[in-house]
Amino acid sequence: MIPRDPTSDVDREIEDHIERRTAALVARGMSETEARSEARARFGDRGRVRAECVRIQRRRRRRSEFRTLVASCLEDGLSALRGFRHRPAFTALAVGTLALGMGATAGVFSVVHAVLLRPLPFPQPEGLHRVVTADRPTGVPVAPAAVTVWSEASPLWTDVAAFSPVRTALTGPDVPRILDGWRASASLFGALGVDFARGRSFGPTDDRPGAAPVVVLSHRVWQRDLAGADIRGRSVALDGVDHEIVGVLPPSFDLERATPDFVVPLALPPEQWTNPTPWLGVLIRLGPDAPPAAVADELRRRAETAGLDAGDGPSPRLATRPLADVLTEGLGSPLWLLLGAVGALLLIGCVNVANLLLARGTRRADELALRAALGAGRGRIVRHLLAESLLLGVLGALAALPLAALVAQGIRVLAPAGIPRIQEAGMDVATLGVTLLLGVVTALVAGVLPAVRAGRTDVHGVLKRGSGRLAGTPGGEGLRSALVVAEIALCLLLLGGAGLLIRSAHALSQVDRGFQEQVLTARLAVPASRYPALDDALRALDDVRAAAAGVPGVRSVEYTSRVPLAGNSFGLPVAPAFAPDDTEPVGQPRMRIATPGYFEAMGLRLVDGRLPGPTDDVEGNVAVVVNHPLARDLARELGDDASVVGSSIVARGGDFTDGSGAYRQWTVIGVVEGVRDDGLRAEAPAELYFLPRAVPPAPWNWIGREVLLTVALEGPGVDGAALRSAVSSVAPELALHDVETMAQRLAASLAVERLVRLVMTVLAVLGVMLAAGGIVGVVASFVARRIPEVGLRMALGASGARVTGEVVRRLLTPVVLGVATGLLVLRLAAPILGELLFDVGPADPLTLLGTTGVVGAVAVLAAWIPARRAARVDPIRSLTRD
Amino acid sequence: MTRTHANLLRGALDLLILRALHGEPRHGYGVLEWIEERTGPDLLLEEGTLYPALHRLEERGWIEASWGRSENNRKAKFYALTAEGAARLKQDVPEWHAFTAAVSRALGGEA
Repeated sequence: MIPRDPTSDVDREIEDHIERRTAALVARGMSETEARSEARARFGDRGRVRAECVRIQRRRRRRSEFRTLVASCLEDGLSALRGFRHRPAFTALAVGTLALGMGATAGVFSVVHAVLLRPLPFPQPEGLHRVVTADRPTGVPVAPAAVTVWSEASPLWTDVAAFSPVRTALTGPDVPRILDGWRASASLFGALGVDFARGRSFGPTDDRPGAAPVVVLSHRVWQRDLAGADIRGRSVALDGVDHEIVGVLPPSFDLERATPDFVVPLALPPEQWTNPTPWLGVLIRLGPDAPPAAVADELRRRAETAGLDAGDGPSPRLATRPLADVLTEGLGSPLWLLLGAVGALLLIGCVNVANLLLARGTRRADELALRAALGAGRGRIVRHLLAESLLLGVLGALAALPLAALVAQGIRVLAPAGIPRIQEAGMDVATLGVTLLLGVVTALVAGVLPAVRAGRTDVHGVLKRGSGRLAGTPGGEGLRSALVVAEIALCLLLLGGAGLLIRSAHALSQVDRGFQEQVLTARLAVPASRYPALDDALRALDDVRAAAAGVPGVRSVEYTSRVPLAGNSFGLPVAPAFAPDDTEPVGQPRMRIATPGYFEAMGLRLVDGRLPGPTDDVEGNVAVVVNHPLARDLARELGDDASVVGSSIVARGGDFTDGSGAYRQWTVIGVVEGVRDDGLRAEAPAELYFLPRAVPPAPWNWIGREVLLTVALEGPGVDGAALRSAVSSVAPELALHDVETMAQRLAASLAVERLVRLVMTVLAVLGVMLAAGGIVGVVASFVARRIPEVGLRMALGASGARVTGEVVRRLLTPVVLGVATGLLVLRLAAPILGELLFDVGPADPLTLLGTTGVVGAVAVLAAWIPARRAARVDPIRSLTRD
Repeated sequence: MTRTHANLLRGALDLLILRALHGEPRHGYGVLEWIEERTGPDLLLEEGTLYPALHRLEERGWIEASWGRSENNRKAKFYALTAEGAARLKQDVPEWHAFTAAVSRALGGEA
């Protein structure tokens, strides 16, 4: 026996003991008062005894309640399992539907988690920012002079690090391997928060011109190329120059292409630190509580004080942006959209399972009513049904795990290279947890309404009516209609999203690229370490061009500092020559160095003036080519009647001055069409083309003496190996890298959206199938419960077509409501969807109309199939079925 | 009282309670009377210590409690031996004899 109130139970027991002892003492001749106090004395510390007894009883009760709960849950679970065994088709359908949705959701979640949600593997990653502007959200080039004024101490930040990408060949006994590194100031490691497990950071003497060359290697390069050997006293040859390895970065700093293969000191000559030409990337470590807006204000203020363009003129204002956002630029919208889309698929599955449970609950109305009549409380029945759906959810989650791993792997394989950390997506603890959580939540979402409804079953009604087959249980219609509304809305959402993406892709395919796609491009560096004189380097490039031009299938070989789509490059402030030096420049066009034949080879169309010829490419020549966006900006400054072609302009860079310190004047000889350099979605930016020998030597160093060969092809393709051997025949120490056509570059630039479109389309097809299946189920169970009624009406003369029409018509309201809801939600998703669309609004009428049509047709078809069955009912049999 | 002494005493008390309830349910005072009759009045200096022992035995499932009426028609909480408690008693009594005999032998030899 467990007492309901242990305190009073124990009190009564103790009181009884004292009474009995008193009575015994009185019987031996004591007086009543004496006996009572003697009895109390003999009992001892009553309070302690009482407390201990109560404690024991309370413990007993807790344990017993727990045991009862476990036992009844176990019983519910076992009985649910038994139920599943007797209905394998129902169970497989429900578990399979849930597993499909949960597996897809968990798989996409693992990618979102790996790429977007996990903090960067740096100490206090939220304090690490890049210096950006609105039109260069992933980092804006900064002048060394600005870095100098920013590097003075501030309460708002702790470290300012400048870096510049550099590409070198790791030379050794084997074939040279190209590494992508950074030249960086020593403060980089402090800003990143590197704790050197091996070796050290740069010392103050390392970051000076002429210092003995040192290098810090990334963990991946140290492992791959040095087999993780002891670095003490070791050197590596970069472009043939020995660099002492002073340290190795921790493995957590390997973020695909986002982090460098190696870091060498920036080692700028002191006079360079006042150079106002922007070309350095800047990382800044904010103080613990520094507001980013205040940091940006202070950066601008210091730049202005130093007489530098702080981005207040025609170019946008400087700001800082968390490194994590910079690294995942352009990935947030697509990944969240995919997660939303798989979530919609999961919800459709959820609705289907809810409908299955509801239908089953109706069929089991007799059993449940009987149970209730036999005394099972409403709570007991609800719990029994919930246990059933919970078990379905957990089974679904277990079945979803391999599917989730498969989805994550599929995305990893299809994803374009270089997305930081996407390759780490997989079944980690977080994904596992989310999958199981999804199982529980889905089960509750799918199970709670049917369970509550079943718990409310009217016992008398069901038992009295025989079996409730004549009219079905009351209240089911509204719930079923709501399920149809949800199915239609979700289905429309998926189909609409996919439709918009497909339309957008079509619009993109119609965009004028402005360049030839059948041009082969290849990286080639002529490093200063091998060709100290720029003339020699340019001659080597000419030799390579001549040799490659002899390869069969090659029409011409030119080169440029950057081909379209190859990413940002240096911006140069440009102004008409007549404008005073302190006026605003007309813009900061991207600086290009290109051979005279490049324009024709790349297919850049001439708009005005003439293209340069071989005679223009000589030292001292002032001929430049501008592209149309730059020409437009210049024309505004020059006035209406002046022609851009033939006008004189200046590039306001410290390296573009003549002997007297004045800016050199350049003459525009031609205008070419703009190229969509940042991908097909963005308008063509302004560009300024210099010829290789006419441009001052400094820009050659900015680009690291690296060019892209552009090989115009005669036929469909060319043998890459033949091209390589042609190059090494004239310059054995030079090697071609990243050999790919412009078409391939274009495809790579569109890879993320192609992936999103593909996945969305698959999801939309699955969603339509699931929703159609769900509607068939709803209508079928509706029809099944109406068969006696339908039979009666047909016996009274209603035609089969009329009965079918009526059933389908009943679905009209939920379908219209579903379409409206779906359109509304699609409208709410417009901001995120709009970011992925090109030239198509998120409310594109054609797409939405088409989608609505498809969804409506599918719904009607899904309703018609079971409805037709109703019309074939044999009136006699249906009426005598009971 | 040392810990060992307390444990020894508790073991003895548990055994005495089980023995007192063997064959006949009793209330707490009845158990005390049974023990006093056989051991003299001084074994339990504080009668209250009986009750935590009873409740603990109940928790272990060796005895079970229920409220009933005693000989003079007073309400009282009665304890009865369960099957498990009976088995325990059967096993523990010989063990106790062996134990005390061994201890006495050792102490007697020393004295």
